[in-house]
Amino acid sequence: MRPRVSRRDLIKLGLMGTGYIVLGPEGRLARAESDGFTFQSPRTTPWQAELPLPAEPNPTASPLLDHPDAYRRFVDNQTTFFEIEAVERAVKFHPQLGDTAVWCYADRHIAPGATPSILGPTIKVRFGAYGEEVPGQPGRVRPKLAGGVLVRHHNNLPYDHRGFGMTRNTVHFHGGHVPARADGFPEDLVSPPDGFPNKVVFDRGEHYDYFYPMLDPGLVADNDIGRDHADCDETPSTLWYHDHLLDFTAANVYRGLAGFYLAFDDPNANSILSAPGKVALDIGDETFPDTDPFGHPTDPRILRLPSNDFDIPLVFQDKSFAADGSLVYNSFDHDGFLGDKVCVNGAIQPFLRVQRRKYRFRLLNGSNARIYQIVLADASGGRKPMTQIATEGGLMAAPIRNISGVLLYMAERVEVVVDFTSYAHGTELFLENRMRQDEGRKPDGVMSRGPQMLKFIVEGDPVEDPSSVPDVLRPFPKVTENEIRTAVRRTFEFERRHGAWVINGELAGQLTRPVATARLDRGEIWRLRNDSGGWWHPVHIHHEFCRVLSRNGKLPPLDERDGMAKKDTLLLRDNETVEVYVKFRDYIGPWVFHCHNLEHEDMAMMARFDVAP
Amino acid sequence: MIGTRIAVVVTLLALAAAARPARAQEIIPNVPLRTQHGTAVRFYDDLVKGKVALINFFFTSCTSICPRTTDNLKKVQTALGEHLGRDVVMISMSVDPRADTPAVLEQYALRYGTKPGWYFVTGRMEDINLVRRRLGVNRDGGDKTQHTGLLVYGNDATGQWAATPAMADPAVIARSVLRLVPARPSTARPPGP
Repeated sequence: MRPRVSRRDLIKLGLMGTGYIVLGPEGRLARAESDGFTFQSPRTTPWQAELPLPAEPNPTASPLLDHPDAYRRFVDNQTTFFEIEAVERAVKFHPQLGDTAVWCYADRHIAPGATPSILGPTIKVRFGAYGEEVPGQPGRVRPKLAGGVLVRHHNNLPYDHRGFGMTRNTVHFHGGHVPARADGFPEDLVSPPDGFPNKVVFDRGEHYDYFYPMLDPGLVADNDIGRDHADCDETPSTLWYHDHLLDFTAANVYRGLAGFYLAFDDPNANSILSAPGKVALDIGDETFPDTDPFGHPTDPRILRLPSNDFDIPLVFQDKSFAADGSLVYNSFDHDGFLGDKVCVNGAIQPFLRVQRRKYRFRLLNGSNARIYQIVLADASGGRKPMTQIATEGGLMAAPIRNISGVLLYMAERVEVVVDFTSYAHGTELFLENRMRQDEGRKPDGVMSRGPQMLKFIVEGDPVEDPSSVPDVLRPFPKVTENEIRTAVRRTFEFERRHGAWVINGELAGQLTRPVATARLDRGEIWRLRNDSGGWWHPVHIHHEFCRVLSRNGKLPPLDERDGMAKKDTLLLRDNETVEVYVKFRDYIGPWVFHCHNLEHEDMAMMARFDVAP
Repeated sequence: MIGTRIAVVVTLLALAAAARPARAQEIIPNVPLRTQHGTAVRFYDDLVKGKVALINFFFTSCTSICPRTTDNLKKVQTALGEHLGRDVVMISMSVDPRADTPAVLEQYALRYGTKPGWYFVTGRMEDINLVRRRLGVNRDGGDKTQHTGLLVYGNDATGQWAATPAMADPAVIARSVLRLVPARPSTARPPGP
């Protein structure tokens, strides 16, 4: 149980984190550097608390919808409604640390007595499309735009807030393929494109409805309702939602506004669509029987990856804490703020008891500016194998077995399966971060050992394990030569001039106008180039997953290569060039792409692009 | 029992004192400066403390980005309207303080037709460099053209600070800045367009 300390108590004690930086444990700033401050958080003993696992939100019975017209064709009696509110709360990141005031997304319909978590509730949904016969035309099938999830986000952040962060909200569904109005655009546009709302940012006391269709891409087409095909080989699996407010994303996400969103295949989806259906079904049920009660084999496409209690999302976020437990942040660090404590799911160095079987771990880098090299290792640093199964775009075509570590940059998701079967009872294994990073600009290289972030304690005898990782997961065709030949080509060069970010020589971040307008359903090849030596930039493109065609003119590494993986965030190390194919298939409107080093993003390393019919 | 309670109170007080948030001047240096009017001021105490402030860096002999930046900030000045000088200040700090004397700054301000509430300031080079470092806008050493493209803005009273390109759309800058101005019942003017 987390003790609850009221906000008034915190204010009375003067403990609210009012500053951008707070005095250190000795009552003075830990160290003033020429370039700013480094800060040392209080010491904490590792492995004192169990890994927190945020609960799913409870659906609300009453349908919610502010703008029925905008979502009319989607929302029906199969839609699930959630209500989430951004609130300030006193939480514990570690048992030895004082209470920390954070902002979190809280389920409005949380069960009485349930422990609220620091992370937002983990939304789990099924993904797919149903078909229905066109009335009066027997045999003709069209997709039924039904179901989906509608999340009403409330902003109940404090009116008298002091300190870093801005109490206005816009919630980005990261990796989501959703109508533009549900994407979490960073700022209200004075003259938005047709059909896009004037107001997408909501203030204290206000709310905003986000509708997530959870339909296979290619189906909806804002300009042409009722296509008869979908791209069924694209189901994302680990997504997340976080605040995306112009100029204040870094502070708001650092304060806690983030949560997981996990997607699974709907086994009943697209069964009567004429298009080729899904080749693999990740239904989140490892115990699904091979045969039905009549002895007939069940759907051979169903995967049995480790599921439920053995399917664990892990978000890594580095933070710094003052002696009283309050969060320390430096609003003047525009290179990228680094904390000195890595939190996993909102806990400093937690542990997880594991059984002797396989587990699926969904790794998310939810940090502002820290890049990780995550290694599974024993206490003396001996590396243990993991199998990579997914990236941002969901399951890869095939697993990559025996990987020795995972490079995880901001907003990136990598899923791994770890098999604990062969480790004896009592074995302790750790997730170590071997990336050295002393400043926000970029990391300083991989070390032979690194800080341990999470401890696994292996318990018991081997248990029955119905899960498996087959040699083929979700294969999909590569972008064809014809698609490459006919694609619209654009180059975006990122540079730094006079301390401001520049894209193709123009000042970045001017959201009043698009830097490019793509056409719906027309393939594009974007060449992303980082001309700023000494800086790394993970660039995130909203709305669609990318196919990585080349990195620095060469075949990209397997874990991002087209034909193997789909990506929504692409790392540009100093002077790197990455070429991606992207097709905006469904939704028109203004979108953004930006650096996901959140301080760089807040320094306007962002551009708007539009998708037009 | 009472002893324990006293001990708890003392501990809490000590904790509160030790963990007291840093006063803003520990971040924003309270260095001595001179304005375009020749007035001696302290950067934090006199210009920033308790206010909504826009801070940028420039020098008068700069021919590349500074003139355009000052032009752009002039549009911000217009968009800020009656707030400038009342609850918002603009501060343009010279990074060439030896050449940019108060008299030079005054000429510069006159040339651009700046209004009260927009301060052009100069001082000792090391003090100005300290301000630049603390505000995170001088990572590239002595090159004075660097980081002239940034505008740091925030509300000292609430501790909310951000940065944006100084050449950004002036209406967007003004709207972002005015959101930090606490609502006054007397003015009853919604921020932004």
